[in-house]
Amino acid sequence: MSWKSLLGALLLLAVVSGTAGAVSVGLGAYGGMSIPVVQDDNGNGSVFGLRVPVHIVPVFTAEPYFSSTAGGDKTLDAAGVSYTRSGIDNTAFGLNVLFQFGTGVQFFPFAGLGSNHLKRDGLDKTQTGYDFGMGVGFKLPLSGLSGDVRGALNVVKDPGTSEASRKWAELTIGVSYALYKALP
Amino acid sequence: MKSMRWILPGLALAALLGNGCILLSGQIEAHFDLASPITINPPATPFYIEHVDLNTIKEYSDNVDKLKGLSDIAIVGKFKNLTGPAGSMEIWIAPGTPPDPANLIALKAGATLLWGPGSIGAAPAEHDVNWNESSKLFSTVGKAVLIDQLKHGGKFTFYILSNGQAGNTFEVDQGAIIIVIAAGA
Repeated sequence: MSWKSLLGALLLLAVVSGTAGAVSVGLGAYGGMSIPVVQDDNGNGSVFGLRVPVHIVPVFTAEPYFSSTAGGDKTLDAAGVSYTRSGIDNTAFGLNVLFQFGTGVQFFPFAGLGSNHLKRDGLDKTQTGYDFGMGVGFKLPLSGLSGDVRGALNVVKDPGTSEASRKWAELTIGVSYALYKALP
Repeated sequence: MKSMRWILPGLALAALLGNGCILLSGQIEAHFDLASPITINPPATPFYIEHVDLNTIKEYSDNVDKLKGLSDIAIVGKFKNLTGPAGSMEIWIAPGTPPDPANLIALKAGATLLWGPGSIGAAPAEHDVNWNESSKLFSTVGKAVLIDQLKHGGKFTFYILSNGQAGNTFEVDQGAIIIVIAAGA
């Protein structure tokens, strides 16, 4: 299944699964930790980004995003000498779809697709990536503001081979502001 | 309707797993230490031959049956010019363990440029090639030969050579090949 058909299926199923409800558009910022999963040549780093949550039907939110990850260096020994490899920086944009449970404090599994530009010395490639995760959202005591904590797995096709992937676990904290809200 | 909220992420995960199961993979580092020191004296000794068997490296042999490709590579070490003017060094690769070539012409006819040229100043000079610098010096064609050997036996031959003139003496100390293999289910 190509990423375009998967995206289409996600959106179509999300739309048909819901009914008309309040429409809202927000703007959010987030940041946190990025931890490579089984990557001997890439270290822990940081991630920050922007999101535009678009809430159309009661159970789901479509969320275009931009993110920037600064990979951490990794040092290894070879022939008695320590060598440091620069971490992989990742500039990404894409779309996540959130599926919300509860009122007040909300729990939401999410999944999405993105374009990931991976860069370090000797590497400069753009690869398709997939996001899977779980989040907890809550209202903040200021009008229009909400916060969330998310854990996600970011899976990006390995630039060296299409048969493998590079993966990062991400733990982020975010704040969103409701820019526009219309009742049905 | 609530079940739909789980179906959609499940569909996305199923698509990913169905796409060659790339989820179950990782990047494993292995390195092969070259002989040290390696000395090259053109024209009498214009190149050095290193037969590499990655099966002697645990990280490779443990993952060879799950090997998917090459995620990163570097050739590192202390590259020295002991005598003579500035020059450069290259590394060529040939599959398996072919007979030793008689000269540079025969070497280049039977091998492929993998890495370089890496320049080094007039003697006395030392250029410590690090991982980041080295990663930018690989040829696409040579890397393809290496990937093919990684997937089919892990045995290949390196030729370290220089374009130096008569009177040059080059030395490589504490050299190593660092490979990061992509391995998965």
